[in-house]
Amino acid sequence: MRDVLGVYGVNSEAPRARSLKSQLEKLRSKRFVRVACVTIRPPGGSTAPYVNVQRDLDRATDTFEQSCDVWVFCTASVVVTTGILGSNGMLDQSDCKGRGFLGIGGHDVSGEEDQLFDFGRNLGADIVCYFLPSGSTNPSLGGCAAHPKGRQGFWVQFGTSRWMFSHELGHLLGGLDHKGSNRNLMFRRPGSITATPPELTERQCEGSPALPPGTGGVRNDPQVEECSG
Amino acid sequence: MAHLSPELEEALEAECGSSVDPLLMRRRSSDLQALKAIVADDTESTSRRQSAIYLLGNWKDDEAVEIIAEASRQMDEIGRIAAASALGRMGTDPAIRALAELARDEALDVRRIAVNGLSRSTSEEALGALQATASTDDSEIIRKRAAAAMRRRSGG
Repeated sequence: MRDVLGVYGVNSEAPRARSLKSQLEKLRSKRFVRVACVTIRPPGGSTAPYVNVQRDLDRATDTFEQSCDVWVFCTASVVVTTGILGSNGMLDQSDCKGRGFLGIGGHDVSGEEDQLFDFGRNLGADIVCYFLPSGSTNPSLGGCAAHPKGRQGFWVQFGTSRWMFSHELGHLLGGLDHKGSNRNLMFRRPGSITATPPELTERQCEGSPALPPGTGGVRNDPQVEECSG
Repeated sequence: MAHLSPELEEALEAECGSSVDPLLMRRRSSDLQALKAIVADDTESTSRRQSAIYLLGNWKDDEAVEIIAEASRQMDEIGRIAAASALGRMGTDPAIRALAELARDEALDVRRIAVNGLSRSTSEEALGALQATASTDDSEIIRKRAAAAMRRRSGG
């Protein structure tokens, strides 16, 4: 397989043609958000990246590009073998507060979360996704976008819903909150989203100028860039 | 089974962490009682009891401690991890006493989460449990975690 800029593996669910030229053209002509991916592996086991990294990246690009004309540029995908999450790769996280414009604040950063969110900070993206083998100590969750101040990111559990990565990224981009429609990316149960790709409304994409930066829609998020040259 | 509020149902089946917020924001006594009943009911599914345990941990109600501790004795490793995490977030004296028991669990990851919880507390009971773990735990990893937590407590 050839290396293609911003592509890190095979999307076995929906294989697609890729080329360096098309990726460079996309970078030149469209707005994008940089994301880095870190697969966490406990010591003594597999050292492979999470098998669905590229599927999740493709689905995020499909979703944000279709509705908001913003695509997801993955700057790097690495595997970190670490014992900080024990032998099962399960994060002991205090809560999932503090994301989304309407979310309640006061997120309490646990020691493990503090250590986890140090990884991947040198990979060329301010937003880092952590793929965790066993999720968190709240066993029903497949993902959470709460993060330590100044270290943007979110985690996604191995084998969770195919829209979880995009959904959690949505909480970070423009501070999107949950919606009632099961066709919308921000439906509270990402595993029950019925649209492919899920929808984002114009308000979710554009937000409102009255809202503070980072809470005013995907396109206005400070993380969204475009090439000026 | 009693009728559960929509917010409680949503929190119990949350896929995304922020689905838990509405329940914790309104803090209704009826939801708290329902959560305790779910944890105590061994005919409930394991996953639902584990989720209820997690939620009780953020409610920080001392009356839930014994219910969580008792349920954890019947549960598998994942259930005991949820219990250790919940008790650690509660952080009250009764919770620390129950956590000290889980710090001696047979499963390494249960002990890891218990040590995390003990590390958050400033109580003498937590310190005693950390000292015991740091000196006697079978796992070097756990002993080191407990010792590091003690150093942080003493400002080292």
